[in-house]
Amino acid sequence: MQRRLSLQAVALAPTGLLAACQGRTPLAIGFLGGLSGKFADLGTAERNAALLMIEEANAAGGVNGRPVQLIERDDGQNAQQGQQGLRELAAAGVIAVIGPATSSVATAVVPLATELGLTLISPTVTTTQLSGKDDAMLRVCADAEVYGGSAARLHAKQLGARRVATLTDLANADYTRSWVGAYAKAFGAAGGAVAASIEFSSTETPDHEALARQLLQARPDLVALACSSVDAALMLQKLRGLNAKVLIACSAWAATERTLELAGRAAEGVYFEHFFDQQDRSPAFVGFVKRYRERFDAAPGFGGLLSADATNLVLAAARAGATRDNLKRQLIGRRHPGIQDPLSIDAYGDARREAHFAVVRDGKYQATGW
Amino acid sequence: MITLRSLFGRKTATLQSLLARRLVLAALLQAVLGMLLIATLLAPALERQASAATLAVGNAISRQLTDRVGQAYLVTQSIGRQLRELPTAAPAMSGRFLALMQAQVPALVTAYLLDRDGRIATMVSSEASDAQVRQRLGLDLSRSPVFALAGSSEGGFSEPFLSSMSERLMVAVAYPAGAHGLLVGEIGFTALSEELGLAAAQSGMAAMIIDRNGRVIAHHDRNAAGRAGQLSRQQLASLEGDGVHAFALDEQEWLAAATPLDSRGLGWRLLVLKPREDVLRPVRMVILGSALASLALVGLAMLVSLGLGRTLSLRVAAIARYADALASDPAPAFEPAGVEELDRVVTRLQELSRAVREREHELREANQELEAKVAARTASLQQSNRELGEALEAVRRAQSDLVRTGKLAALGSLVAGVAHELNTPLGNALMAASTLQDESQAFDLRVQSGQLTRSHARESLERLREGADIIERNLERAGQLVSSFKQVAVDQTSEQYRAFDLRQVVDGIALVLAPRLRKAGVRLECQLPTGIEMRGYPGPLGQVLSNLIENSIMHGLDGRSDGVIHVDARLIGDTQVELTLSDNGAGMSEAVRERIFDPFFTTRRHSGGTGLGMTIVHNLVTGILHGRIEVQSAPGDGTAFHIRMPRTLPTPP
Repeated sequence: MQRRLSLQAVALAPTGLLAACQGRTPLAIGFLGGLSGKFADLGTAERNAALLMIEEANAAGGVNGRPVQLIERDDGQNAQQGQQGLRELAAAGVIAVIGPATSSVATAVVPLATELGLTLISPTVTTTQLSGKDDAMLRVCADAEVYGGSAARLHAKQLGARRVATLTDLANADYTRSWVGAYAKAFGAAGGAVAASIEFSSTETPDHEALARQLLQARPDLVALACSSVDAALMLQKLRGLNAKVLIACSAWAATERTLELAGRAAEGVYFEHFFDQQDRSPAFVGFVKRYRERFDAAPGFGGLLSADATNLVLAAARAGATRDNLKRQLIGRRHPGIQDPLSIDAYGDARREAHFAVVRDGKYQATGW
Repeated sequence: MITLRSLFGRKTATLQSLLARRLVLAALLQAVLGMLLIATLLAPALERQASAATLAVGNAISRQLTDRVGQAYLVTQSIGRQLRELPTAAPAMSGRFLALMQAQVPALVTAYLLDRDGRIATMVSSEASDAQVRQRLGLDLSRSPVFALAGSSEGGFSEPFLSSMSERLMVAVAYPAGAHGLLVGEIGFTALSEELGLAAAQSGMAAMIIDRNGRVIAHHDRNAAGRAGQLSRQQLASLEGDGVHAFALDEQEWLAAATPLDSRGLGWRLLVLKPREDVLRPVRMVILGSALASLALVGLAMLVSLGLGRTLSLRVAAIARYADALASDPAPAFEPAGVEELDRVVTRLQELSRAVREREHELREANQELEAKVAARTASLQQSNRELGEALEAVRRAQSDLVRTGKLAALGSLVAGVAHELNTPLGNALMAASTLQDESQAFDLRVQSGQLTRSHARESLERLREGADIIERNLERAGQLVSSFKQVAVDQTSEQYRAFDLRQVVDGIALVLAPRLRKAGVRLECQLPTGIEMRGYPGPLGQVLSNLIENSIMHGLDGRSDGVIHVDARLIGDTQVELTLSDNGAGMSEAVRERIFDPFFTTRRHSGGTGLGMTIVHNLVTGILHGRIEVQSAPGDGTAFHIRMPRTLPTPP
């Protein structure tokens, strides 16, 4: 549709602005996530999903007649940048912030958010460090305790693993350490033993081959990787290059399409923990995936799905008349609908959600049915 | 004092308010027209100018960049073709080709060859260290979208993707190199962003490149360039179609020209953005300036109207005062106002004043004449009035005289009649008395002579008795006549209300008129029954009868010796009496009959008729007797008068 500057618009621009200031001001929702750098795919997916939810809300007439606007800031996986971004979002008058995407940024920005009185609804932050705290952050996913713990139990039970070697990426230590910690504890409780616990930093050009060797040296039944897609993909390739048989499992952080793309054939038979059920055929989920794909030419992944849930929460609260100050109160202690399944947010803002498990067959994630 | 109320509140405007109103309106009109002109002419012109400039810049840049991007493909194609020619060579060889490719495409960050299984066979990178490159070798990219390009014989571009090699957004250009596998180059957007940055700095515009999904892949601002920017659906929708569009970005309004950057189906677009503020600012300045000017104009208008209004109203007030002065003094002093129209008004006023005075003078004279005439007329009218009054008085006197005369006449005739009638019985009585005297004398003689016999005595006594009878009867008769006449006289001369028998009254009149009747040879037949008791005024009734009879005698039966007058009466119901008087006289023609009751109408003026008799009849019947009178008559048929009246008249107060 062609939109030329109308005469009236130009001549009466001042009055137009004036009118805009009074009553039809857009509802601004903020987004904070990693839009650049190594983990940008997660942040991008989360931002895209939030944008899609907002675009669809606008197409349906907005929130109580007001158009919705997404204001995004890139945290660059950087604490300072994250804080700066949060300040800018607060100044821009957003009602709430979707994000951050990663735990390391979260631990840095949550105190500031509490100070600014701005509520964060994080799609994918799972660090246990922020669990059980009455702070400015709400979650739509469970914490690493839940995920790591259930993963360990199921691996022990379903795969019969007794010795595990873990790999932790310190670039997102708040997440990975929580996860690996919970995993080790639960694995131990299930009668297994942690043969090796290796840490590396993905920001420092890791030598994946060396890491693979280190892990296999401990002669584990199972290698558990707590790292991002790129590293996971490379690790899978290297591990398989060295050992075709060892069981490999990845934390949900690596459970993305990108991992499959990059890992190639090395991903076959690898177990992945998921934040959502890949096999779900419910119309809401299938429709969401389809719309996301049409819009952005990619799969939403868990980041996209959880971000969509988080955004819908904010939109629903805004429709019910919430403001920046009372939004958190409106959301906690309640059950909310999700695209795939409902979620409960407790008084501390933590969510109860189930973990799902999948294995890669023919280059696709398939639910294990555990 | 000019207040809003004084400007628009009153019905009749002062000069000042009128001027103020007009001038202010004119000023406002000018302001509105000015704004309209700006809106319709200036603003679009500026818009067009800005649009054209933006579009030109966009076109220029996009042409350049398309070439650059296209160049990357061409180089890849050329190298790929060359590789195809080569038999399968050692990595070092292919490595050199890759290096060549990199040299020719500066934006190329990584170049590699993927084998049939999609694994990296050879790789060069401008960023990675050798160790890192080594690490990457053998990496399985079979599932990556880049490998999908192996399917097309001419290769092409991939969609922008996050590279695991460079860990940032890249676009891959690939060309199947035969046995060597798929030749792939990963091109970064940094160079493009830098180009945009330069162009933007030169033209003062912002610039970015978006892919077909609206993802921002290059940005003139290098900070934004690294970020995975994404345009919303609304923003993309606003860019549909050719030319320049209004575009919202980062809470700002822009003019955006979207030009295609489409090499081999890339589907990218170059957006060149100019802040709308830049276009609107001059317009706004002009509008503001124009508004201020208009405001000033309105203020000026008010001032001018104040001054001018005041001057004019003073001059006009002077004329008003002059007009007032003219009213009293025929030629007051005057100073010309110096305004043509106003001076003309003064001259006209002077002429008007003169004309008015002349008229006044004429009017006064005419008035005086009129007054004189009026006085004269009044005098003559008064005179006539007086004369009329006198005449009226004379007539009244004549009328009462006539009435009196009539009455006297009636009375006179009444007395004459009485006297006449009395003569007979009195004469008879006298005769009888004289006979008695004689008889008694004779008796006396006889007595004295001693010749009185019984039979003589009886005869003499008989004769004496007869004589006394005759005297007694005649004297009774005389007494009756007198009392009858007395009654009639009383009745005639007074209008006394009493009860009476109609027959009696009629008889009384008949008696009175007997001599007259005898003399005229007319017989009066009273056929009316007795017993008709009436209460009213018998006097006037008798007068009526009297006059009617007189009338018949004088007119209808004149010259006749067999004239008969019938008098009849009957009761109608219980309350009305009809009295009829008819004669067998000559009758009257219609012309006479119609006028019979008219005053002074008579057919016998010269024989002493007053012409009032019948009038008196009519007046009495309709007046005091409360009745009606009708006359029937035809020539040769006699005349009949019908009088209908109430039996009982109301008692007088």
